Amino acid sequence: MDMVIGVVICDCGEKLSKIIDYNAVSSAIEGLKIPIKKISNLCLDEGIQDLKNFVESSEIDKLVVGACTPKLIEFKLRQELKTIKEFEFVILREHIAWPNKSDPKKATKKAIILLKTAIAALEVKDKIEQENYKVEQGVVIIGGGIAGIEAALSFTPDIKVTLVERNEKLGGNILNMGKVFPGDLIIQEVLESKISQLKENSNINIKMSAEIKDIRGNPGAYEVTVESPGASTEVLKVGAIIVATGFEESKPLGLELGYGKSQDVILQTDLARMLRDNQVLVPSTQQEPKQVLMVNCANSRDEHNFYCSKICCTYSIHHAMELVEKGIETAISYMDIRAPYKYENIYRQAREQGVTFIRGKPQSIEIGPNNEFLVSVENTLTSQLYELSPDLIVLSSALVPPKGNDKIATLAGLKTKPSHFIADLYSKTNTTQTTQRGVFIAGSAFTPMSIEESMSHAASAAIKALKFLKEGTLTRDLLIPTIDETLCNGCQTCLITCQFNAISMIVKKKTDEEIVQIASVDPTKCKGCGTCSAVCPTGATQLKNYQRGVLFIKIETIIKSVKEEGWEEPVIIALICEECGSCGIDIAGLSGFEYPVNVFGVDIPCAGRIGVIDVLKAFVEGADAVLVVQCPEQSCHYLFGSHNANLMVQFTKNILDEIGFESSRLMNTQMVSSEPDKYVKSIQKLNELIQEVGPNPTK
Amino acid sequence: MSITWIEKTKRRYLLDLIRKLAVKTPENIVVPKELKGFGTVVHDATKCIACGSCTRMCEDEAIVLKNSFDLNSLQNLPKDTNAKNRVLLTEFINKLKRKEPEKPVAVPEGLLGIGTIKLNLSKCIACKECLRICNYDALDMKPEWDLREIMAEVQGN
Repeated sequence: MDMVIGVVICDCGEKLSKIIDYNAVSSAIEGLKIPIKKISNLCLDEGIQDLKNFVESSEIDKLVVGACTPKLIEFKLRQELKTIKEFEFVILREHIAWPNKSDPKKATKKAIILLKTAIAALEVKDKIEQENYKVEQGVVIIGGGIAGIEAALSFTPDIKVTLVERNEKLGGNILNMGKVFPGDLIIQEVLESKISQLKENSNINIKMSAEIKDIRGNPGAYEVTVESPGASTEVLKVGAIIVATGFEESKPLGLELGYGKSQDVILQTDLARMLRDNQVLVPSTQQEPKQVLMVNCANSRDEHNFYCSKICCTYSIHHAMELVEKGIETAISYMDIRAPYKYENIYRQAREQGVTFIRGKPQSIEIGPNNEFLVSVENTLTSQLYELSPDLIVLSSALVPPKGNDKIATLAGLKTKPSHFIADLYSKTNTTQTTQRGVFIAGSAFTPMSIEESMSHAASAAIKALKFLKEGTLTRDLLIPTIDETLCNGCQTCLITCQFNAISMIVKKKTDEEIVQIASVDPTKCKGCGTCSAVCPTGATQLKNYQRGVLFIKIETIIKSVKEEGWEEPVIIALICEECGSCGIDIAGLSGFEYPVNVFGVDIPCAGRIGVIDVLKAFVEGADAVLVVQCPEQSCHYLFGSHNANLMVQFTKNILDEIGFESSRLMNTQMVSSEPDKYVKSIQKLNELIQEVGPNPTK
Repeated sequence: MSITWIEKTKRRYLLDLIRKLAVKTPENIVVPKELKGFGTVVHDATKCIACGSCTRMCEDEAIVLKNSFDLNSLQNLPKDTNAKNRVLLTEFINKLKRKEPEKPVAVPEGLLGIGTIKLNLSKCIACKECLRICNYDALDMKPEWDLREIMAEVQGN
């Protein structure tokens, strides 16, 4: 049965009618015997209802939508019109009408040309099948500190939890601590009870001294490779991952603070360990100190670590109070005291108990001939200069992400903040969700947190993960490449190119005697960029709905329709990445940029999809110039696509140079969506160039 | 040092021995039919589509992909080949060309699936794996050991 293609055009509440002649467009499309309907306000419920009636009465299977950007309406249309097998969008508003306000005639022609192109493309496009897949009812928690433990305990017994800790003991940073704020809670006891709870839960599996080797797969179906000593490497199939890698205390070496020079300059965790064991001794003399100086913000809030580690103020005050209780004179030199919430009480209490607070950082810490310290520090509140000779100096150094944090982030595809802690998706509303669906952050892996904050953050992350796991099944579009088995020769070029390990080689029996190796695509891993089809030497790999045929038909139809409409200006074909490229052009339209009308866009999922032949095809058909619009290399949504596009463009230019065809007719521009001016400038530049070198010589 | 390194030096060691013993410039040496490990790979550029599968198959780096691509090499591709993308490339180049290409085109570093096959005969151990993997019959094995060329190559290194 033949598929019926229909066209709907929207004039955005008649605003676009001033620029595009909708009657001319309608009659041109009707001339092709294609049903067409003009609707005002397709984005409103009335508009959708009108469209539903039109689709029903004309029995339309595939629909061309000429309206505003699909970023605004595509989702709603796909939701509402389930009977439509495939859509094709022509962006009348942002790409055609608004940039060409001053030339309505040409804008109308351009609209007709691009609508015809969309119709031709839809004829060969297929329905993108959707696939449902089960969410694995398991979770891997990376890091067995207090956040990881709390997260593990927050899951219901039907979820299989694996807690991976790289050290030999659970507990992370709190292993060093004794009494912790607030109050006199002994954290070791809490930890022990938590660990015994972990062991009581049969759904929790703990892997000690273990390392994460690899993370693959899709949200809901991750494969995490864990290596632990004494056991074979295990691949865990889980639905969600919680990153609870915590923080570590940085070592302020190389600063003027004496750390590393004198063994009597220690860090807060060293002091915590001494307090825990009730043995506060000066390392060099093994005597109890008489005077202790703490230096807060030792290497934070400066050019090394620009952020505030948040919890050091409170625990330094807490430690100072413990020292004062032991009869040790203690002073804290600080920049600002940041003791939020109820910890303000601890600060007040400390002052009452006799802890000395000096607002100012030491100008120098000198070590005298008998290994005594000579510290001069100015109290900037009273302009008093203190000359101190403490026998122990305790530094509150910056809390930084632990070693290996970046590796975990890379494996899981997570973004990190400038501080290298794991970044969240929306810092205001959801601080446990990472940039990757199904991967959550718990506790200090996000930012340094106190024990209680860390525990509640971890519980929150666990609940979000649980909610995600309970979705049960997820749906994914099968926008993936197909492999033509008769063409594939098993050369593995696609396998090496794919950044998502989605391609593997399988053995196929060609005839009874001949066994061949061919490529196969794993739909759970493929993200649908199409870079594999660009590098394929034979053309066996074709990205569904963006296959060579579709691109070629679009290019051919543009050139054919240009001739039919009596277009006299030069023709620029733009191959546009649907991510940053298309959005950037939307924004160019929204921001009121006007640019020459003679550019015709062909959408591709990622610039990586472009191969040499796609560009050459445009020139063969008679395009005067080709523009490749791509994301910047470092922010390519598919990691390698934009880079591959750069290589392809360079290679194509090399070929064009060698065969005597002006390679300057091919141009690429890397832009993020907030740089619409780059697109406009590129088009102006190409137009100037065509003026200079003349039309395509093969025309 | 890896084992492959030792393997390679073994072949190199043999060549050194031959050089020490040689009293005249060597010519092609016929390799007995059943003898494994010796032979000369012959590469037919007109059939090759430069997909690179042989280079990945070769563990001895005797066959590598160079970062250049000769446009003329594609002109004689058989009509029934399954290298459709290469056929189209040739067709488009023929349509667009204003002059005959004179020299091979540089392939940017990192671009996969294209290039020119280069043989390092001195490293070849005639395992025939590349012949097996090539779907385009672009590689063949002569039952001869091209000692003169191999010697020149080693001296060149």
